[in-house]
Amino acid sequence: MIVKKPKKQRPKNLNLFTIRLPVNAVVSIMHRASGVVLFLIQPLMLWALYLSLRNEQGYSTVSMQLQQWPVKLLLTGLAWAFFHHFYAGLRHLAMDVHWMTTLQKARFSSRVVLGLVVATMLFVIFAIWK
Amino acid sequence: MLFELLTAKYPGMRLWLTQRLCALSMVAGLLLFCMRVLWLAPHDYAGWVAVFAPWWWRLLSVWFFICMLLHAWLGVRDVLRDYVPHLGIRVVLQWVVNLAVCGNALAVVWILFAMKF
Repeated sequence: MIVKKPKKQRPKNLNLFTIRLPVNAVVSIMHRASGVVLFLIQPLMLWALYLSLRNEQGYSTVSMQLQQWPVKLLLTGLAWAFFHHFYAGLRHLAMDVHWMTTLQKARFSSRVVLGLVVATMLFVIFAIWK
Repeated sequence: MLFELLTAKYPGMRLWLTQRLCALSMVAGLLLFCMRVLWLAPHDYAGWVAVFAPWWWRLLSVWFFICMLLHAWLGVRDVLRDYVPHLGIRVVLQWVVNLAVCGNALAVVWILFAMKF
């Protein structure tokens, strides 16, 4: 026999402007978001590979485009998506093998991921915009 | 126990493991690519073609891109399942994604195996 429990009256808040995600959740959701970005950019990336390998003219078209500032901006955003997905992905792999899984360690590794992303992006921004 | 998780009884686990193995494959592939670019240091079209020209490098590249497409396909599939509760809309979106992934896979194979460069 299934006894129906009385519904508990708990406070509920789904207001996105007052919810504050903990750092692990931020790293995790950005892993997803960056993954979607990287998925969406795949056709453009393959198109660039195709053009750059097809002939001399295509190669110079791609390398000229990479000098344009809107493309550099796009490239900077994509570099963020890539490096966040990369570092956060390594973190998820570590957790898959039960490494750094306590809350405290997970928080620490989230901060390490964010730190690595910032450090790498400083280097990437210098390389793209110098 | 561990191997039982990988049998047909638990299809989700196999997909999960596929995505992780693809991820590891891509990490190895990217390291190889960086080493190769640093080693050959291409600075013009001929140099860039030389990076991709050897048959074994084309093979590795196709492997890399297939891993990338599989990994992304599994990831986007999870995203759609989590965020698109309406079954009809989700099925349509999943088909769009499936077609895009297949198109990308064809493009990869064509660029690296059929295109003359």
